[in-house]
Amino acid sequence: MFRSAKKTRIMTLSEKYYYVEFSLLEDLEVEPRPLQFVNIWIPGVDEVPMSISQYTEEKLYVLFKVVGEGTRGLRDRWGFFGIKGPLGNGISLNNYNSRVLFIAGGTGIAPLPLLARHAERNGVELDVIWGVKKSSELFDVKTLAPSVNNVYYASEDCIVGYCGKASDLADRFLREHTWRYDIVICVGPKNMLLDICRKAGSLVDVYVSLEAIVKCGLGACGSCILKPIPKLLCTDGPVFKCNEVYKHLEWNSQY
Amino acid sequence: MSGILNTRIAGLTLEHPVLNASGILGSDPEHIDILASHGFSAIVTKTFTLNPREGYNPPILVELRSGGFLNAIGLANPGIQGIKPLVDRAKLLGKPIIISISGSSIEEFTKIAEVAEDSGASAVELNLSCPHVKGLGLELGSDPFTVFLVTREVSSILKIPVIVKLGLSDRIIESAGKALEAGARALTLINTIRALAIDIYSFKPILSNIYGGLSGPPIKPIALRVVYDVYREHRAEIIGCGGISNWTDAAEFILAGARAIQVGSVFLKNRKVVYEILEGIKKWMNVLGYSSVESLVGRSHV
Repeated sequence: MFRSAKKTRIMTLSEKYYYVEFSLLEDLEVEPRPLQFVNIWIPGVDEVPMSISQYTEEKLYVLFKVVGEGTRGLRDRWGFFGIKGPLGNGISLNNYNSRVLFIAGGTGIAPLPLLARHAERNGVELDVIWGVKKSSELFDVKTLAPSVNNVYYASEDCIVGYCGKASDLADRFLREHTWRYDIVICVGPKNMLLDICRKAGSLVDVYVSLEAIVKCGLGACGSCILKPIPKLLCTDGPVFKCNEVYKHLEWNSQY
Repeated sequence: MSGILNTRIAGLTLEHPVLNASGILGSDPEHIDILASHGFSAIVTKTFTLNPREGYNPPILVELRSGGFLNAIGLANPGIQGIKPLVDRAKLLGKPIIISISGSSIEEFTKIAEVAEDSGASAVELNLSCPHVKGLGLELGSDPFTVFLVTREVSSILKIPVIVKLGLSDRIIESAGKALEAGARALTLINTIRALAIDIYSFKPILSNIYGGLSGPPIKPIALRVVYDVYREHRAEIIGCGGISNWTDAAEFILAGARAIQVGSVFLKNRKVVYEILEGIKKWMNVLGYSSVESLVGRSHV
């Protein structure tokens, strides 16, 4: 079911990143967990999967870059939209994971605000590594997630923070500080996830949040099958432990 | 294989009567893994067309406030070259596999059916009733003569059983009769029902295709009525399909005349539904004192 929502605000966070506020006309009924997603219907245009960036009882926020018709519609259109979800399994933070490292590549930063709020609520200390291609994409993550502990930036154009990829920074960082974290949560491109799983998967519990082509979002159409693994992103994911999806990450990186 | 739930349908012997409905997964080998792991006794694939189809743009599926789902996936499928990998996977898993097929001409139907047989499929299910794809669906199934022609041509060249899936139409009893006369070994009744949903704030129909097929609990009593009527008229082998959500629904279909049933929508909400239906049916049979589910088929008819 699509729950109706009105787009009430848009913020430009950096050169390419947008943050949109939807005022929900109907409650989502269940409180979304960090890393869950919604499918947003842009009437007459498309339906796109979006990580839930933040949620209050009346408002839902998404963070995105414009990559196609759907995201352009999210940026440029006003009026009414449909929200399907929350979808997927998300992740729960509890006392057993009291120190968490969140590694994001590009728009993988999207779920951080909700994750940070849950971390704060559960007394979990959250550090962040965020890498982008161009430093003009960066913004101060503490504006959206004020409760996070340390934030480390990386840019491939070497203008801000660590010079290189988020996965390289994460690798260096984890080699020195693995003991500091109970779990690592990683969101970003597949090659980055594979890299982190390879390098840190044996040292610490690593959770990765995947992306796939999600069409129906309900486990019927099968478009988000995580080949060659018999799992669907929309109903089984998007969050997995490395060993659950390692074959998929490897399989995809060959193409 | 022997057991109280054993089911013979269209010449196939199945471990039990619960299959998946076509359109729930079923176009990738990994989909077959998923379906098999949830207990279906045979796998029905997504409908195959001769050439690959992308399907429609989203929204393609939406749950309705009034219950049930509305879908217009648009027969997305990889085309005939995608059939063999599915059959191979099903064989690896020891599951019979029924290839659902559709075409825009009799030649297309026969061509795809031959590929299915050559690939080693257990049976084909002719989808003569897709409610939302122009020229590939309900137009065929609602005309008894077309049903006869397509079924006869496909049946005459295949050795494996031909099942015909029909949708709700005024002449469904006649179409069912024509399919049987033309060589169909069993009928799947019914497909989704052409329907519509509109968003009241944006004023737009929700599905990108505007129209879709209604499935789930809202269509169950209609599907049950069709199964009952066709069984009464033709005493055919029927696979009941349409809104079956639990074992009592399944039991009703069996009593109406279905030898087997297919579930779709409920599987989206409850991945354990096959086991729950089978447990319920076993208890029901136990209460009644029956030792073979087949002996309950059609028992609502006097």
